[in-house]
Amino acid sequence: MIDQFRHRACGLDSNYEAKPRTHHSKARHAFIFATLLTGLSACTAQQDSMPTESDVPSNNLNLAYPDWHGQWNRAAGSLNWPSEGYEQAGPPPLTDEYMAIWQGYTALQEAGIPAGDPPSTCLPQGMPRIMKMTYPMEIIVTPEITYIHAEWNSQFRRIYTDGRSWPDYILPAFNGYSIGEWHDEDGDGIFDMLSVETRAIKGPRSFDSRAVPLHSNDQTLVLEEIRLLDTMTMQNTITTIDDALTGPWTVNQVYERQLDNIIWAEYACAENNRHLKLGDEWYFINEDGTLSPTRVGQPGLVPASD
Amino acid sequence: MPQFIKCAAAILLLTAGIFRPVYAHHSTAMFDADNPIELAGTIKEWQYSNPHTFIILIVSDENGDDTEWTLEGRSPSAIYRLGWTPNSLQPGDRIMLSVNPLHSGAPGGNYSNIRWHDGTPIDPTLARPEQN
Repeated sequence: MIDQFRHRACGLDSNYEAKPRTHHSKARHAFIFATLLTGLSACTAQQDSMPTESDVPSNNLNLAYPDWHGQWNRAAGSLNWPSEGYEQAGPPPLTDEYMAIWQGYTALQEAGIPAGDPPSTCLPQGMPRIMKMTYPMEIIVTPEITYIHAEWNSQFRRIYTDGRSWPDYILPAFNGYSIGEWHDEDGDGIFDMLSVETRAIKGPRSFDSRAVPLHSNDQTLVLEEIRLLDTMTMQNTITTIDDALTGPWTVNQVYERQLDNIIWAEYACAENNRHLKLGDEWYFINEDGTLSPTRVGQPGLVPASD
Repeated sequence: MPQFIKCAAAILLLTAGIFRPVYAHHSTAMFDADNPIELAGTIKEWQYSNPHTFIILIVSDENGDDTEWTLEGRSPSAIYRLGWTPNSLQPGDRIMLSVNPLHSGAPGGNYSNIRWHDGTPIDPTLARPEQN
């Protein structure tokens, strides 16, 4: 599916404009559609060489940037990728191949093996799962870059809004490489929506702890539209395009704002993670350093002593 | 609203995060949520750590034999904002809790519904009882 998109023109790059634009509803939908159609193009042969932060052109923007400061917490709802949960939203739109993989993971999980959930070993959750924001996030808006700090795993996203083109080569990362564009949807002279495209996302990843998989080819592309619903509520419309899916999968994730008595906590996953994966087996680390089995019939392990 | 209702609501709110079943940010497949058990014992150590807090609990059986349980709780990110700190529990505290044990039957699991030994819900924002 992704190859199908990539045969199209290098649309987002060639059309990309750093200057602000206003969008009304129909235009926004057209933008989303165009982005879906064209955003996957690799077109590496036509790309500029990799820019650095010092040599990219600065934007010549005249509109004001929004005030998104504070702490943003995931609104109540399921930790499944769709906030209403799979029981209500229905099963994920996986291809037959990946539905079978997911069912295999589910069977293993029911047997006590946390298969298909990379964060169980402290790997970053990666895109798009990080935007579930199991723990709070902070958004720091600057003209050139919008930073998103997620407390979970102390993860950082950097969304470039300086008008740069896609680099020739992007070193894959769990959060990928993100280019964004600000929009003034209501035309009041203040940016109010940030659209983001993210590529070069490293695996392994899953959508959530239910182990809904993304394709092992790591060709995922994620499109986001981040906007306020009101001053205290933010919505991120997240569309994931991935070869494990039958088509683009869009969910809405809502975050609630906290402005007073903000507390941040450190999250260093390797500090005391007692879930240990050895090959295909999982063990639970006891306080005395021995390894407890996690499933029936699995032998326990005692590290060799000197 | 009557004062006692306000107090009850506040306690419920403060302790909700640790009372409710553990919906972790990653898979809890190794723990058997279908067959929870109740444990009572004495805290050996309260580890206020990432990615999870842990209680090392000494549980004595009817013969006086002790078993050391390694019990996983929610992360500091989940409970710090509810008032839980590294000082909320201390070695020697006698507590009760609900545990989803390891499927294997080994003495480990994740816990919820933590109470003092007399069954009183633990509210980390209140002073610790003199006799735990």
